[in-house]
Amino acid sequence: MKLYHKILFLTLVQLGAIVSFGIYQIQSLYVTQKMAFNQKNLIQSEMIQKRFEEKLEQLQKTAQILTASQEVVTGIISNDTDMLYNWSKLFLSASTHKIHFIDLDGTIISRGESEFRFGDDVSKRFYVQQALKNDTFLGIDNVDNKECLIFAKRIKQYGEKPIGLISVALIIDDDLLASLVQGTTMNIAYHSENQTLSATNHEALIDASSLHVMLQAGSVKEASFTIGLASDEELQALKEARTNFFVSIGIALILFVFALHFTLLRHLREYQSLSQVLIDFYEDRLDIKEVGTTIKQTMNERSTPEVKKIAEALFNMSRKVAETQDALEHLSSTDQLTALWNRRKLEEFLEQKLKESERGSFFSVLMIDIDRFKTINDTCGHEVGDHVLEITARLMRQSIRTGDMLGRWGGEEFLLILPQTDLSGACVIAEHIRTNVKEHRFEDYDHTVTVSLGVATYRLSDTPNTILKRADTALYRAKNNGRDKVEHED
Amino acid sequence: MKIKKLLGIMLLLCCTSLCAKEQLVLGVNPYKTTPELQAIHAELIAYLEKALDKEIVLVVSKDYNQLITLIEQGNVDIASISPKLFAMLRQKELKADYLATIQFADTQMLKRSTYRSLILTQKESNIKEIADLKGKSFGFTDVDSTSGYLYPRFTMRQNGLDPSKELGKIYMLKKHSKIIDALLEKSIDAGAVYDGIYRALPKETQDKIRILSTSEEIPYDAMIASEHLDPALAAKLKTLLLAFHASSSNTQSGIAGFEEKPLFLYDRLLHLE
Repeated sequence: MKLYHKILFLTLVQLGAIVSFGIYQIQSLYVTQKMAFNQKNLIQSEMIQKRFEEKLEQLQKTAQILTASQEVVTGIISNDTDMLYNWSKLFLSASTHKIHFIDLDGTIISRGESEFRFGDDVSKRFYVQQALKNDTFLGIDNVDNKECLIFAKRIKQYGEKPIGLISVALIIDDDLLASLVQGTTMNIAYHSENQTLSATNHEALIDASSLHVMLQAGSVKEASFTIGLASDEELQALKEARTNFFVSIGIALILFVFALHFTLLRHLREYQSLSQVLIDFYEDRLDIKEVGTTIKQTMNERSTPEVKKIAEALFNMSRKVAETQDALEHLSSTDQLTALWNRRKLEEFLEQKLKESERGSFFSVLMIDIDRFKTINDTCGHEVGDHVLEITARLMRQSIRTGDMLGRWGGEEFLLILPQTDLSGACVIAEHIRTNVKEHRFEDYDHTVTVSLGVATYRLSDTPNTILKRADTALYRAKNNGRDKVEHED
Repeated sequence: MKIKKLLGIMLLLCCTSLCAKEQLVLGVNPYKTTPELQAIHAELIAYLEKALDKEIVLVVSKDYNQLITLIEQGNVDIASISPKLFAMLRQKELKADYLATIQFADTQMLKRSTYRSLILTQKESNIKEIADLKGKSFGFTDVDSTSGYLYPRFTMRQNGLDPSKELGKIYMLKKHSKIIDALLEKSIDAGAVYDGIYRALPKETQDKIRILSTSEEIPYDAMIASEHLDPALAAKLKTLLLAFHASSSNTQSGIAGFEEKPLFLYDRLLHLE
């Protein structure tokens, strides 16, 4: 598997694990919040239920207190409207809108909420009939054309003799519904055959359920209270937050993968370029010097520090290798004593010149030999011999041109290759060398040193041996002719 | 030292009791609301307080009957008592001194010491005479009220209607004004009031009402003094009451004055039952 794929795969696996964990956490949080939300709604519903029950209890308690009063009992017996009014008006409140005293014929003796209205017949009212029949009535019915929560109770003298009725009523209106849901996020709706009321403007109830109240069915048909959430904004906000988180994570993941992809590509491309340089070097498409140059070109300002460091190291390494290679090559191509090219190198030069000559170039060679060198070695020692060799080589080097190739052929014998030089030119240079050497005075050797030189120039279909043979022959002739001479081929 | 201290305290108590104003309690029947009654008696109270140099405390009884109890127990010194109650007191031979009869001014600013009981119905009603009240709902004020209970029942009986059996629903409304309001609300078919309430109504309201009967003259409430009161003070009170004349600004709204009436006018009320 490629490094790119490995990094991408491993990163995505880790990221996937983190994201999965994050999603799990968010989902857990959402579930917890939703449970808390449901719990809160349940508590609120119970609270509303309790408030409703308290309203009913308040009605019953009011009726209980009033009917316990002996004056009220007396007032009912004597139809004392004024006294009953004075008593009942004391108990009117936000929880008790109507208090009626009714005689056994179903005629109202007194209305707490209206001093001068009484004497009307309500015997046909369902709650009156029910209370007269069953002693009490707790339910919903019409009182003075208003749908009310009503508690009606039969009043008895001495706890035995029925003398009349009391009805305590609470009008079912928006205010009542609002008071039930006050301080909550719930809504309550009342529905009957005649009207539909709601505590808030939101008509639709969310997660609606009926209020659990033990109310007797009155003359008002299909009357029911329903409670539910006024608005599911809170839950929606929670859901939205969860969705937003998931979408954000998704987008972030995609962006991250793209960013990772491009970052990897960018970095790996630089590594790849570096490795390609090394491959090219290994496969001989580049030499060590070109490696350095290519690496330098590969590096740029935008490269990362790591890549820059590697490239720099590779560059320095290639430079060092190149230097070592140069040094080795130099060592393998030069003669240690005279610092001239050695025989191996001279043979390479010669081969090269021969090849070049096939394409129209030409050259000449000089075979140079120090005269009576064996005598110098034998009489003065090898140190002096080496000194003579060293100085003679220097003198010869000083006598040649930049492009000429001078080397030690072996012992006291030297070979000089003169590119683009014909025989006469070569003879001139040979003569110049001979003169320079002869005229030089050595520090450690008191005698004159002379050299003999054989000159040969390139001929078509020459080989190294043929041209060297001719130069050697010329040299031999110079030796035979008395040394300190320049001889050339015929 | 202790004796000195004791003497000092006693001296202080004597001074305090001498400086404090004595009180006289004036009891009245609840024939109107307490603020209305306070307004009616305001000028008289001020007059008496000034003349007697005593503080007059007005007490409104819970109902008509309670005032008798208060008088019997000596909890009130003087009382303005309804004619019927006064007759009952006389019948019981309770020792209460008659001082004077209250005068009220009518719409023509004439002082009157008598009034009449009226039986009223709505003009649009089909009740044209007393006999039509049969089976109809009726509003009385209080069983101890002369004009609001006693006389109307007497009138009904005189017209051949037994109020205990032949009337429809009967309601006790205590206040005369409430009879008018209930009548206008059609809560009752008919009711009984004293004529002063009717006369005080606006013309347009009077036009909506039909008077079915008017009683003979009934003396207004009697001002009496408790037997516990000093006779000399009672005598002084009688003189002061008979000399009382309301200022012109208060003649219409409060007690206009007092007059001594023959007591048989009260006694005959007992024979109305």
